[in-house]
Amino acid sequence: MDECVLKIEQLEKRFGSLEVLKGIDLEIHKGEVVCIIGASGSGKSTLLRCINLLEETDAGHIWFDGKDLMDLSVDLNALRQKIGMVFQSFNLFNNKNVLDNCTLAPMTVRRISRSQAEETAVRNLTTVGLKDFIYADSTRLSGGQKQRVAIARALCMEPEIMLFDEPTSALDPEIVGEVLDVMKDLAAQGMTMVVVTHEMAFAKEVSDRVVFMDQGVILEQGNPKEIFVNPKNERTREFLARYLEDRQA
Amino acid sequence: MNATAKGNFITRDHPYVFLGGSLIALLGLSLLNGPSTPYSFLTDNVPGLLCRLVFWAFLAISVVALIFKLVYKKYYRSCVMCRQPMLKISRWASYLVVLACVLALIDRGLLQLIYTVQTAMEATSNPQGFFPSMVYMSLKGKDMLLTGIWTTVRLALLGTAIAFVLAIFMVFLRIQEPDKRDNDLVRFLKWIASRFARFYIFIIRGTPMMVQALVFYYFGFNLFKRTGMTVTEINHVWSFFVSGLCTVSLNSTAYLTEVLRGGIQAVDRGQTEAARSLGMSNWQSMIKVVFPQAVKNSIPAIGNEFIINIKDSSVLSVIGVMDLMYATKSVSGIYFRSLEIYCVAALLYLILTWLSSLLLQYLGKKLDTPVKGIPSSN
Repeated sequence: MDECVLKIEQLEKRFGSLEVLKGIDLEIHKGEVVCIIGASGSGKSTLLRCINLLEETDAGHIWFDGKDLMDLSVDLNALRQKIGMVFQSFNLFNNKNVLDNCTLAPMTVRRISRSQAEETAVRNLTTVGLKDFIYADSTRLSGGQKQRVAIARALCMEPEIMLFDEPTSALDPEIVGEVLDVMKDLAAQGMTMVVVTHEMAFAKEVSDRVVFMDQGVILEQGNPKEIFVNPKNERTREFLARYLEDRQA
Repeated sequence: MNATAKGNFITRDHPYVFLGGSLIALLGLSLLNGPSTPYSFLTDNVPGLLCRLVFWAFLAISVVALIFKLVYKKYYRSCVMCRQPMLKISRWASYLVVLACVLALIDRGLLQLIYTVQTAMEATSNPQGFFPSMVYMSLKGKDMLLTGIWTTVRLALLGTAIAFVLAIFMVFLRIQEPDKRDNDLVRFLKWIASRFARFYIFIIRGTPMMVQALVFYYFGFNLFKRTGMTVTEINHVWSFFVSGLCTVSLNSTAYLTEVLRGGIQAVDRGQTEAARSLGMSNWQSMIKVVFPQAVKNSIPAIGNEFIINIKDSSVLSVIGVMDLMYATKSVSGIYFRSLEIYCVAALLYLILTWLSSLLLQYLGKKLDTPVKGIPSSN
C-alpha cells in the first residue's frame, strides 16, 4: 500500500476570480480507494477533473507515473490512457454501440487489433454484467447500464487508477446499487480508485480513506471510521450531521 | 337542437342547409354562366338547363326560408321551413345542388383546361388570355425550360455536394484554437487557419451572390486570358456553367461551414471529455466521436441549403448560365410576354423546391435512428 501512484502538490484552480481549489495536497497509494466527500461547490469534482487535466490548473504539481502533468512538454495523451475516468453523465459515445464504445480508444490510442480490443471489451463488459448488451445502441440503455458501460470502457484501457466523478448522482435510487456493486468488485480486485461521491454508505464501507473537502481545501482526511464516527473538524461534523438528518427524514 | 339530431353536418337535418346549399348553387351558376368550350356538355341543352333549374330552384327555396327568418325572427326555428319534412326535402335537394355543381366544375374547369391546352398546342401565335398564353409559351419553350430545370438541379446538387466537402475542410480550419501545450509554430498555424476561415465567411456572407458570380466569372476569364488563350478556348474551359458552379459551391461553403460549426457546438462537451480522458488526442476525438454526431445534427440544415441553392442559383443568369431563370428570360424575350412566363417559372421553382423538401423529409426519416427524443430510462 505504500507505493504512491498519484501525488498532488499545492494544486490551485481559479474560474475567473473564483478560487475553486486553494492549494490541495493529496497522495493516492497503489490499491487504495479514496472517497472525496463534501458539499456541492466545495471543489471535489474540479479536483478530480484537474487530476487528468480536463480542467487546466493554475498552479501546483500533479505527479503521476514519475512525471509532472503540469509540465507543458509532457505527453498528456499517453498519461491520460492510464487514468480512467467515469463521469456523472456517463458520456458514452452516442454514435457508437456498446462494444464500439469500449474498443474505440484501445484501437485508436493503443493501436491494438480489433479482435484483441473486442476480446478485452467483452471481458470487461462481462465483468460489469452487460454481456448481453454488447451490440446495443448506447443511447438506448438505462442510466445504470450506461454507467456500467462507461466503467467497462475505462477498464479497457487498463488504467492504473480510476477516477469516478459522482458516478451515481444521475441515477435513480433503485439502480444506484448496480453501479456501486461494480465499483465494489473493482475495489476488491485492488484497483486504485478516487471516488467523488454523495453515497456515504459506500464511502464508509468500501473506501480506505475518506477526504472531506470544503471551499477548495481539504479539511480532514483519514480512515472512514474515524471520519464518520468521530470527525475532528467542526465543518465535517456539521456536514455529516446534516447528511444523517436527511437520511432519517 | 332536438335530441333526434344525429350524424354530422352533412347528413343532419338543419336550417344551415339553405345557406350552404345556396352558396354552392351560386358557384355552380357562375361557372355555367362563364365561357363554354366546344367540349362543354352543359350548354343551353337539356342537361345544362336542368342544372340551372336545380340551382335556381334551390336558391328560390332558400330565399323563402330567408324571408321566413326575417319575418318570424325568434320563432323561425319552429316555422314551416324548419320543420321535419321541409328540412329533409331541402337536405336532399342540397345533395342535388352539389351534384350539379360538380358537373359544372368538370365541364367549365377540367374540360376547359384540356381545351385551353389543346388550342394552345395548335395555336400559331401567342394567345391573348393569361392562362392560354402561359400554356402556349411553356409548350413552345419546353426544350429551353427543361434544359433550364436540368441545369438548375445540377447546379444545386453539385454545388451543395462540393460545398459540403469544402465546408468540412473549412470548418476544421475554423475551429482551430491555440492551446498552451502547442509549440509556437502550431499555435501560429492554428491562429492563421481560424482567421482565414473567419475572413472567408465574412467576405462571402457579406456580399451578394450575384456580385460574387460576376467577380468569379471575370476573374477566371481574365486569368485564362493572361495565359494567352482565345475567347473560344476560355469559354470551353471556363464556361458559364463551370464558373456558376464555382460560385454556388464557394458561396454555400461559407454557409455550410457555419452550419457544421453549429453542429459541432451542439455536441455535448462530455463527448469530447470522455474521449480525451481515454487518451485520445483532440484530433482523434474530433474525427471519431464529435464530427460524426455533428454531421448528423446538421443534416436538416444541409438539406435546407440545397433548397436555398435551387432558388438562389437563379442569380447566376446574370453571367449567362442557362438555368431555369435564364431560360425563362429567353422565352419571355421570344414571345414578348413577361408576367405569364415568369409565373410559369415561379411555379416550376415551387415544384422543384417542394419535391426536394419531400425527398429530404423522406431521406431524413430514413437516416434518423431515433437517437434524440427518446430519453434514457434511468
